[in-house]
Amino acid sequence: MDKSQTPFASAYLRFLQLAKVVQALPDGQEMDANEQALLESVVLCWYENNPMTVREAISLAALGSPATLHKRITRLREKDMLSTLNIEGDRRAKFLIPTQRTLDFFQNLGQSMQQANTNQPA
Amino acid sequence: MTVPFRHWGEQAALALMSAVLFVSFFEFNNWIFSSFQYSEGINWIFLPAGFRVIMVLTMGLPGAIGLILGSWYIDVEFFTNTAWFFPFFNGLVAGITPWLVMKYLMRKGWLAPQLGQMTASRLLQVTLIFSAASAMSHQLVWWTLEKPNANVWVDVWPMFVGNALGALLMLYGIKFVIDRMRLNPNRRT
Repeated sequence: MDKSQTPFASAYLRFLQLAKVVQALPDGQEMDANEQALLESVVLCWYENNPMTVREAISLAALGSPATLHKRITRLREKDMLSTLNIEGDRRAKFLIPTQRTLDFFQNLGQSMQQANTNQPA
Repeated sequence: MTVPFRHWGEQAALALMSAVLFVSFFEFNNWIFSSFQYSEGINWIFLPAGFRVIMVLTMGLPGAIGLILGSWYIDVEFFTNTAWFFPFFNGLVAGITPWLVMKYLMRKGWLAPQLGQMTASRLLQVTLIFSAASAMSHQLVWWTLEKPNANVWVDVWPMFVGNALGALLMLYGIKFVIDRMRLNPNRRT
């Protein structure tokens, strides 16, 4: 332990460390690899200003059958990772858009990538 | 001379904070979970067990001393019909046990001194170990000091369950609050 750290500072830093771990506790809201693959496809289209409709999403044959993908979309909506958007004047098409939780998730992944890159030996 | 004084002052403040939080949550637990009481001194849900984990992991020895002081304060009120040494030893194991467990886990390499590299699954394992160690040490003291109406081999189980459930409820309660704080778009950054 660093001798220059005061007891308050040390306790606070350990508390921050513990809070980070507490945040990562499993809560049944984790995504499996299939859900993550679907989420990535949907968010990529949204990022390219071309949001996917539910119909388009369930037609991604490489990721599964329409029935399976529909269930996956439902699960992602229940986990607050996807939301739907109706365009004014056309209520038939439902567009899939990421939620704030999804954006936070990708931001964390981006930060981890950046950190891993910084920690790489030259 | 100022630095050691400040150092000891901060240690004392941490111990006091730990004691006050432990007593407050003990009272809170008695208030909301009184119907879950199994027998005198044992509850099927014991929220302060979560504070034991948090206080000892974040504050170390001052946290443990605070737990001892808090337990003494509670036990003097609680165990009125027992000899003076009963609350004394009961309070002592309440604080010392989690601290000794933490030291042992650090020695074995399960925990880093600053909690670095700790994972969520390791925290859950540590919580269960703390709960089991606390239940066993309390029952051992009660058996040694011949606490009236105590059945060590039976009572240890509800005490372990109460500690584990209380600690998990506390940790997930904190997680809930942190998650809500992070999602609140109006919070100041």
